[in-house]
Formats: sequence, C-alpha cells, structure tokens
Amino acid sequence: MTVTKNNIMKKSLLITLMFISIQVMNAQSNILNPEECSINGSAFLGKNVSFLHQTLGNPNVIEDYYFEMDEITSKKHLYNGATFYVVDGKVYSFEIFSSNYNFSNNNIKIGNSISVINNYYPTSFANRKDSAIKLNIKNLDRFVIISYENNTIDKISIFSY
Amino acid sequence: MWKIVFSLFCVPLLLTNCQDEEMPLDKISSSLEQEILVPNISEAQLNFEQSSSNANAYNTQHKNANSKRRNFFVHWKKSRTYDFNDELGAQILYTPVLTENKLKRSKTFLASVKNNKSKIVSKMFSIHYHDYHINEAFSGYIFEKDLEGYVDKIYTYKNGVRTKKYAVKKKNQESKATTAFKQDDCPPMTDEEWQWVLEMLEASGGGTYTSLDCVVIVAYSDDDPTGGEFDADLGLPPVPDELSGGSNSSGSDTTDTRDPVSEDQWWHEETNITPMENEVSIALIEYLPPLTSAQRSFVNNPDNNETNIAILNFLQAAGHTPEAQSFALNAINALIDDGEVDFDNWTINKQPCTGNKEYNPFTNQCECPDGYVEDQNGNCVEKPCENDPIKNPEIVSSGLSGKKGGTFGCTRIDNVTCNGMQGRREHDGVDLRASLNSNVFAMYDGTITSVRNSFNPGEYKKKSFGNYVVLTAVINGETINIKYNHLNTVKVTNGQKVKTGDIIGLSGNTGNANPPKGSVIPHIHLQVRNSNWTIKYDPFDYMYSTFDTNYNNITNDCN
Repeated sequence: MTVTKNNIMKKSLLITLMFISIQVMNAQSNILNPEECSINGSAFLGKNVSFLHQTLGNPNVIEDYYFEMDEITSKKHLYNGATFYVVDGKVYSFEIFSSNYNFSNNNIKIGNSISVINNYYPTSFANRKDSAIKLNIKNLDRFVIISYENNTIDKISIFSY
Repeated sequence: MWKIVFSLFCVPLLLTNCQDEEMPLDKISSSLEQEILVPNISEAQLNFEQSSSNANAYNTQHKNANSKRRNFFVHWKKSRTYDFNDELGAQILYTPVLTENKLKRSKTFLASVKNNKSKIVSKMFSIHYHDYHINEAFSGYIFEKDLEGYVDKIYTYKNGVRTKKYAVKKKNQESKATTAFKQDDCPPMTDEEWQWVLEMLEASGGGTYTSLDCVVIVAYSDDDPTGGEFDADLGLPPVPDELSGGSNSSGSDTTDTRDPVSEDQWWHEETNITPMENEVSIALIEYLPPLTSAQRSFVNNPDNNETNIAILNFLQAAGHTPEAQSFALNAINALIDDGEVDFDNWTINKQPCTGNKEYNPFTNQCECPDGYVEDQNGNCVEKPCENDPIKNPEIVSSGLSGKKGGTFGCTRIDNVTCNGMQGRREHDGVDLRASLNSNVFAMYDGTITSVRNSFNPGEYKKKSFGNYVVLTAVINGETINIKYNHLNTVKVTNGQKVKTGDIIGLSGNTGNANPPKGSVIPHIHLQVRNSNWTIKYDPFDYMYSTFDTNYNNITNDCN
C-alpha cells in the first residue's frame, strides 16, 4: 500500500468531518467553561465567599438553605437582583434577575433580546424550548438556564442534576 | 374464568362413600386400606419399578413427557378403577399409602397409570394438605413426582379448584413441564407457597433442585375445562362438542385396544363410569343441547345436585322450549362463575368484574390475576420484575457525565473530590427514567416508614427530594431502607404494610427534578440505606434488572 501526502490529507479531512458530525449530533447545548459563567466580569463558581463579597459587596441578607439531597446547609446570599448559594464557604450556584448584572464574557443582560444568545450560543438557542435556553458547564454536572418571556431574557440561573 | 371442578380428592370420598361426613385424617388412611384390595407395599414398589421401563418407553415414543398427562388412567392390578381426576380425564386407583407424615400432614401414594394406549406409566403422588375435611373439596398441594421420585410438578388447589401449577427444574436436567408453559404465565410465588414447596422438597427425600421455574395460573375457558392445554400437549384438536355431550356406554376394561385415532371419544365414553353422574345429571344432558366440557363438569358434580334438580324442574315447567334451554345453559354458565340465578323470574345475576379483574369464587371478589396489581383507577396493571421499582427501568443521563452520572457512587463530574477521586462528586442513588405519573412499585415486602406528599406534581425546590416514600424491608436478614424520591403522588401512608409489586406512588418531577423551565428528564431517584441510614448501598444490588457497561438495561424478560 502506498502512502502519499494526498492520502494523509484526505484521511485527516475525513476524521475531522466525522468528529464535527459527532459533536453536532451529540450536542444539544453549548458548553461553557466555568470561568465563562461570570457575573459583571467575575467568575464566582467555586470561588471563596470572600471573593464574592469583595467583588459585589456584602449581601443584603444571608439565609440558611438546606440542600436536602446533599444533606448540607448552604448559605443563601441575597443581593438586589441576584442570589448566590454558598456551600462550605464556596459559591455553588447563583441566579440573576435584574439588569444590574450581566452574565458571561459576552455581557448578556436581563432585558436583552434572546437573539443575543443566538449570536453566542447558537446550538443552545436552536434547541431552546419552554421559554428556556440551556447551557452546559464544562467539567460540572450543572447547567445554566437562560429563561425568557416575549423573547426577552428575564432570569439566568445555575442548576444541578 | 378459572373455576373447575376437581375430583382427585374424591378418591377417599369414593372409597369411603361418605361424602357428607367429615372424617379425620387417620380414618381416611385406614379406610383406604380397608376398602381397597391392594397388594402389600413391597408388591406396590415392585410394580412401580417394573413399570418404569414401560413408562420411559412410552415417553420416548411420544417424545413429549407432557403427553403423560393426557387421557391416562390409573389402575391397580386391574382390581378396581375409580375416578381420579375429572380434569385430567384420568381414572386412578389403587393406592396403598406409602408414607404418611402426620406432622407434616402429608401422604405419598404410589400408583400405576395406564394411558389410553395401554402403556403403563407409574406415578408417585404426594399430597400435602391443610384444612382438609372429608366433606369439603381439597385445599392444599399436590406434588407429582417423576419415575425417579423427583418432584416434577406441584399443583395448588383451593376448595377443589386447581389454582396454580409449578414446574420444578431439576439440577442438570431440563424440566419437562417447563417447556409447555409460557414464560409470561410465571408470576412469583407467595411466601406461604414457597414454604410449602421447600417443605415438600425436603420431605421428598431425594434430588437436588436448582429452581422452581414457573407458577402458572391455569385459566380455563367455558368451553374446555382443560383450557386446551392437554390437547396442546399432543397437538391434538379440541374435544368435539358432539363427543362432550355425555355418552353412556357401558364400562370398559382397563385394557384399551381401540384405534388411537378415537382416543378422544374413548376418553369421553369412559366418563360414564364416574359415579358422579346420576339420573338428574343424565336427564339434564339429555334435555339440553350438547354441553361444553365445563358445563358437563358442572352438572356431573354431585355438589350441584340440588341445582341440577332446580334446572330440571325449570325445564319441565317451561315445557323444554328453546328459550328455556338457552336460559338453562346461560344459568349453568353463570353458576360456574358463582353467579346467582332466579329460575322463577328467569334472571341471572352474574358477578361482574371490571378493570381486567377476574372473579375469585373463593373470596367472592373480583381480583387482579397473578402478576398484576390494582392501580388507582381500579384497573389491573402488570407488575415490574420482582424487586424492580418500575417496569423496564432505564438509567437517566445526567449532563456531561451521561448515564454514568445516573448511577451510584462517585459518578458525577464536579470540581470536588469524591473518595479520593478528583473532579468527581458522589451520587448517592440511581436515577431511573420514569414517564410522569407512571406507577412505582414496592421492591420488597415491607412497611412504609416515611412519606412526604406536600409537593404539588412538578413543584420545584432546589436540592430537594420532593415527594418521597421510604419502604423498610428485611432483606437477607438485614433491615434496609429504600427511598423513592421525586414522586408526583404518594399512594401509601406511614406504617402501611406493602407487598412486593404493590403500587406505592406515581413517578414525577417534584423537588430538584424539575428546575423552572429546565430540562431534567423525569425520574425516580432511588436510594438504599441500612437501618439507621449511616451506610449507603448501591440500589442496583437490590434490583432485579441489570445493566451493561454502557448503563443500558440488559435484563432478560423476567416473565
């Protein structure tokens, strides 16, 4: 069998196309790096609560919230337009529901049209349903839900399976 | 339709001729010995052994062991014949009591069985019983052994009606009977039945058994009390109606020399020797159009003599009109089903059963057949495999970790450490896909020890189990808690006793399983814990279903 540069290129192209096809077939959602799950330019997931306070200031209220499924009590930090859940001193999840905050490096804001999402996360946008757009988070079994009404984003939250 | 008149235990009845009299067990056996001209036990055993080779030859010839069940009759040195089993169309007799264990309330009989081609087959019967009264139909267990003395089949009876049939699978030997049963007809046995079976196997004194394969509810049709199963065994057509009308030829010798082609007819001609028939039943058979097998069994049952007289009087009063004959036939059908008939007003009140239920004449109630359980709407629904919480369970995928994330252990992807595994998070149960509001079943017999039903169907709460049920069961001697989470509806109450396969709730997506506008597949989060909830167990170890390395269900059909 003769190996030529041309054959190698063909095989590489075929493998690349197959890889892309598989990704397209499997992906129902875009995948974000945890660092991309930022609020006002700062990534909070997994960061110490002190970083949260330094960045956004002290919350209005801190409440206990029991994570029944994990048998642990979290701390619920309430801000104007945002809530953060803190477990073992680290930010576990959050939700924003005010234009005071923007999400991700793309500065997605509450009140934006969902067409913005189409620009940055076309796969998730294409698979949106029930007034929600889902983004998976890399290396975490958690996901972002961007919910909307009348094509306008009204809430961005992080959930776990 | 599962009632059938069974007369095996008319053997002692007939022998002692005391149908209306209760007789204790010890008198039954003494009556047997006094009434029957039986050889001594050593002769019986000799006959048994000598017959074995003939029986094997017969079976080899037919290549179907089940054919033994058809049209055989039992004799003893041609001395006497008695009706043995109307259902089998067999004539038994003889039988010295080989063993009697009063403590276990059992008897073992030895019998020579002669089929309609004059081939001798020996059978040994053990009869285990409880609540036996001479004037009542038999309730208990029959253990039928093969020629080697191994238990081959087990029959259960209630008030003379055979309710279940078990095929016993012997080690290194395929069960003969199993091949004739449909796997779909094999519901599990109750604890009581198991106890009897185990006692029997122990008492049978030989053999190593690997499993009891099958429990069969024998459902009989109106037309054929055998449900066609005996015909099916030999591939023969059902008994023609014209032969089932009850002929009255004279008694025959125990040696049958007629053409095998006419064996069906031969069998029915033989029925005339049954002493159950009397003038009333014969008259009914004459006055009515040809009866089905079930109808004929009914009118031949001496317990129905008064009813037969009522039917006869009705026919005579009505002038034997076609309408009266039709009504009489419908009345018999209804009475077979334990319905009520008012002959004066020509009305029939037949017990109606809805929701796929069957009428149980023993409890006088409509009940779900074995393998089914009644749901919230009163319908009978099929149970899952025993020890599975739902039918055909599938692992549900959990984000990037896929189906693995739906299994037990450090299976979830996260930025924490689980049992030394960096980037893993513990999942303390299994997530089983379940469409909304589908039935969830008790995996074991046990007690409901905790419930939560405060969530509305689909109601979300972050990191919550939502509605749940805790079933506490003793499994292999250990007290185990099984928790079913995210239910939409709870169907049991705290403290309630449940049996395996009972419906305990409806699946759903309460609690963390339904993020607002999120896309989590409805599932049951199933957890298993020890008695004080300190040790987490893999639920797979307590389920029937098994899964391959790709977490797909690979369980063979449990039925």
